[in-house]
Order: sequence, then C-alpha cells, then structure tokens
Amino acid sequence: MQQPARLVRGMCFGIALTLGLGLGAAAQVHAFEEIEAKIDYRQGAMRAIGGNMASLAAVIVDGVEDYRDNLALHARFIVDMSRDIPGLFPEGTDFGETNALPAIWENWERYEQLSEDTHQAAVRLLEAIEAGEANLGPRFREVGQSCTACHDDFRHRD
Amino acid sequence: MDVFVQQIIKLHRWAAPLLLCLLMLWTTAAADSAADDDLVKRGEYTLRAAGCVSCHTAKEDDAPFLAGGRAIESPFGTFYGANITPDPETGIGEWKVDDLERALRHGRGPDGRHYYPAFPYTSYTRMKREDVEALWAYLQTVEPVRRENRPHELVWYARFRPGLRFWNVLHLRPGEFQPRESETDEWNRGAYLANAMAHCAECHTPRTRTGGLDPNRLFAGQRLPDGEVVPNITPDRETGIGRWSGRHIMRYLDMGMDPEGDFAGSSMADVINDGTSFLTAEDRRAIAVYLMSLEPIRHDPGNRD
Ligand code: HEC
Ligand code: HEC
Ligand code: HEC
Repeated sequence: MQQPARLVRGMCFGIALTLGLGLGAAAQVHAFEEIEAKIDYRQGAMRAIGGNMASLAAVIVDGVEDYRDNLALHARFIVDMSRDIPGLFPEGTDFGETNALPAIWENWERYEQLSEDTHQAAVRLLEAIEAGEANLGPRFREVGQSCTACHDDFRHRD
Repeated sequence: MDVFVQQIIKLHRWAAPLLLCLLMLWTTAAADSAADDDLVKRGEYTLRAAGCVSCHTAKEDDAPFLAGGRAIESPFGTFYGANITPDPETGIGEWKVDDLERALRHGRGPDGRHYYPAFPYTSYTRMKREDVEALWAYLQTVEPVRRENRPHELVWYARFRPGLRFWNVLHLRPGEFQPRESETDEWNRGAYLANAMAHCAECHTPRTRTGGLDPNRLFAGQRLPDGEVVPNITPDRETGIGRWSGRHIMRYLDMGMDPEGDFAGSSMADVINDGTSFLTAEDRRAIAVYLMSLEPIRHDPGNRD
C-alpha cells in the first residue's frame, strides 16, 4: 500500500539528484548520505535496545542467575535510549533501506505516545529491578508489549 | 399412635426418595452446566487458537469485540471482517451450529452464497466438529452488537461471488485433519494447531497464479503485493528459522520476541497479541515441534529478483 508513495519519493529524489549535477550535486549526494547515516544510527540504536532485551529475557524469563547483577545495566540503557525515539525519525528518513512506514509522519502524536509508553514501561522495569523484586516477568512483558504495539502499526518488512 | 405423627412418618417415607430425586436432578443440572461452562471455555480457547479475533474486531482501541469492521487488504481490494456477535439482524444471532460448520468447513453462507477466501475456510475445513461446536457455544455467549457489515471494496471482476465456485474447485480440499500415525501426539497437535486453526501457512506461503497456496513452498514465506515480506518459517538455516530453537519459537508466539531481542510487528503482532499468546505453553511447544519438523526450504521472500 505505502510502497508506491515511497517509490515515487525515491524517484523524485533520484531525479533531483540527476538534475542537480551542476553546482548542487555534491551537496545533494552529501544530503543523501546523511539520511542513510541517520537511518543507520537509528537501526543501530534499535538493535542495541533489542540486544539488551534479549539479555534481560535470558535472566528474567529463562533464569540465568549468573548475570542478575547486570539487569539494571540493561534496563537503564533502554530507559535512556527510549527517552526520545521520535528523535530517531526525523522527517525525510522514510526511504531507502528502512522498514519505517510513512504512517509515522502521518500520525506523529500517536507515534510519540507509543514511544512514551515504551519509556514508561522501561522505567517501571528498572524501578522493580532496583527494588529487588523477585518476579520481574510481568514488568518485562509490559516492555515487550510496548515494542510490539509500535512495530505493529509503524514498521513492516521490506 | 397419634395421627399427626403417623402423617409425619408417611411424609418421611415419601420425602426421602423425593429429596433424593431432587438432589439427583440438581446435581445433573449442575454437571450439565459445568459441562456447558467447559464447552464455552474451550470455544473461547478455540477462537484464540484459530485467530478469529484479529479479523473480526476492528482495529480501534475500543472497538466492540467480534463486531467486525477490520480491513483486510488483498490484491482484489479491501475485505471487511463480518459481525459475528449473536445480534439477530446484523450478526449471526439467527444461525445454527450447522451454519457455522458450513461457513468454516465449506466457505458457504446459510443462504448458500460463497464466501471469499479472505476468510480462511481453506484452513478451517480441517477443524474437528467438536471444536466447531465449542466455538459455537462460546460465540453465543458473546455480547450481541448491532453493527451493519461494511461492504467489501473490490475490483469489478472480483465482485461476482458465484465465480468462487471455480476457485473452490481448484483450491478447497474439504475434510477434517487426519492425524499421522507415524508421528507423536505432540507433533499431531502442532500440525492441527498450525494448519486447521492458526492458519499459519495462509500468510507464510507464496501463492500460485490462481491464488492458491504453492504446495512446493509451504511455510517458505512470500512477498505480499503491497511489498511487505512474510518470512520463511521452515527450518532452513540461511533463509528460514533454522537457527531458532524450540524455546525461541515458543517465546516468539508468546510475547513476540525473536532471538535477537527484536519484537514482532505488522500482522504478526496481531496474530500473537490476539491469538497465540493465549495458548498454553504445551500448545506453543507443539507448534514449535511441528515447525521444526518441516522440510527446510531455501527461499528468501525478501529477495527482489
Ligand atoms: C515508537 C515506535 C517504536 C517503539 C516504541 C519501538 N520501536 Fe523498534 N523500531 C521501530 C521502527 C519504525 C523500526 C524500523 C526502523 C528502520 O528500519 O529504519 C524499528 C526497528 C527495530 C529493530 C530492527 C533494527 C534493524 O534495522 O535491524 C529492533 C531490533 C527493534 N526495533 C527493537 C525494539 C525494541 C526491543 C523495542 C522496545 C523496547 C522497540 N523496538 C520499540 C519503532 C519502534
Ligand atoms: C484472515 C481474516 C479472517 C479470519 C482469521 C477469520 N475470518 Fe471470518 N470472515 C472474514 C471475512 C473477510 C469474512 C467475510 C467473507 C465474505 O463476505 O465473503 C468472514 C466471514 C465470516 C462469517 C460469516 C458471517 C456472515 O454474516 O455471513 C463467519 C461466521 C465467520 N467469518 C467466523 C469466523 C470464525 C469463527 C473464525 C475463526 C475460526 C474466523 N471467522 C476467522 C475474515 C476472517
Ligand atoms: C496474518 C498473516 C500471518 C499469519 C496468520 C501468521 N504469520 Fe507469522 N508472520 C507474519 C508476518 C508479516 C511476519 C513478519 C513480522 C515482522 O515483520 O516483525 C511474521 C513473522 C513470523 C515469524 C518470525 C520469523 C522471522 O524470521 O523473524 C515466525 C516464527 C512466525 N511468523 C510464525 C508464525 C506461526 C507459527 C504462525 C501460526 C501460528 C504464523 N506465523 C501466522 C504474518 C503472519
């Protein structure tokens, strides 16, 4: 559904790039690379959040006790990184190698809300860890549900 | 003896069997309603296992349960899931259990019309009668909601329902699931859940030109017409989920987390949130056992060439 719109945008960018071969070319190539790099950054950040979730699951869900002391470390990273997820999605970063859907920029407020939900869920998990709560499963699940809630509406597989 | 006392004794002679009778009636009634409760509970579980909720409940946060309206995109246009609450006018309040069975197992309405295969009756035809009965018992307990079905928005050549008869000749193989003697109960349970209930293959299999599932690439993933990739879930190590363990598959179906810590999105998020997360751990394990037993197929649905 969203594909054609993205294709057209990508093509426009391509045409602009070709037409601008004179003076602006270098600047435009630079702009293009900058967008690619921004997408790289956010995907890296998301993967890092994911890596921390995988480590949390190994301890909280599968019960690998050896690393229990690291729980706060992992949760704190997610708390910090999820403070401004929308900041990872500046306007114009919706084409190329990205799975982000244009719906993000069409429903910005909801996007901010879902990001805030993840942040709050991560804060609650961190608090529970710091309070030494024994059963962290439900808190972990809440964080996971908040990730799915956003991926459900705003990400696809390209 | 006093007449009064005699009366009492007479009464007692009668009362004991009478009481016993009452007691028996009461306990069988209680057993009956306990059996009903069990059937309804099983029906609710079946509804979750079969993934009916996502398609029959609109996407908005406070959408009435099972009252329809969910948009289902397809190359032929947009289908809208129907109201399946027991409202007599806009839902299925006037149906009988056999009507439900015919819809699920043969894709036909009570008036004989053909349903579109956007309603995955090609999978549900494998359901056991007892599961259809349980579903029916549960559906009757759902809050009736008055909500007119939204007409599908289809390209002109797909609007002619009787044409579906030919599609069914090509692609509908009616008949209950037949367990394989050579496999374990767990495997058979997994095969039943994946194929007759959760219809995993309907999304995870490429389609042939006539819109049927490609029998040579079952579960090997596909790219949908809108560009979205549905991954290969055969145990191929390069292009499928051959590197996942049973534990990983179970966790994914429970909370959507993959081995990298990524979380499911798009339609799979609904499959999990509205469906597989409600299953017992044993049932999720059965699905995992079944998936891991499939023939690995090398097929990368994300590949654009
Ligand atoms: C507010 C929306 C939102 C929330 C909340 C969110 N994500 Fe994401 N996530 C996205 C989008 C959009 C993408 C696709 C980014 C791209 O491809 O450019 C993504 C991509 C990812 C990826 C894949 C990165 C890659 O390209 O390899 C991982 C892993 C991930 N998210 C993990 C998580 C986890 C774990 C959480 C919860 C703790 C989470 N996300 C919460 C929107 C969100
Ligand atoms: C993938 C989406 C999808 C799933 C899953 C699904 N349905 Fe449907 N269902 C539909 C669509 C679309 C229609 C309308 C078909 C048509 O108009 O031809 C429909 C129609 C029906 C009807 C007929 C309603 C009427 O008024 O004629 C019933 C009953 C029904 N579904 C019950 C179920 C049950 C029970 C399940 C789970 C076992 C289920 N459906 C799962 C999409 C789905
Ligand atoms: C409505 C369509 C649909 C149905 C039905 C469905 N899936 Fe999926 N599935 C998807 C999509 C789309 C994805 C990709 C999710 C994403 O992008 O995060 C997916 C992803 C997956 C993955 C992750 C694969 C990977 O490489 O990341 C597994 C495992 C999976 N599904 C298993 C199942 C099983 C088992 C069933 C049946 C119980 C099922 N699916 C039913 C659409 C579906």
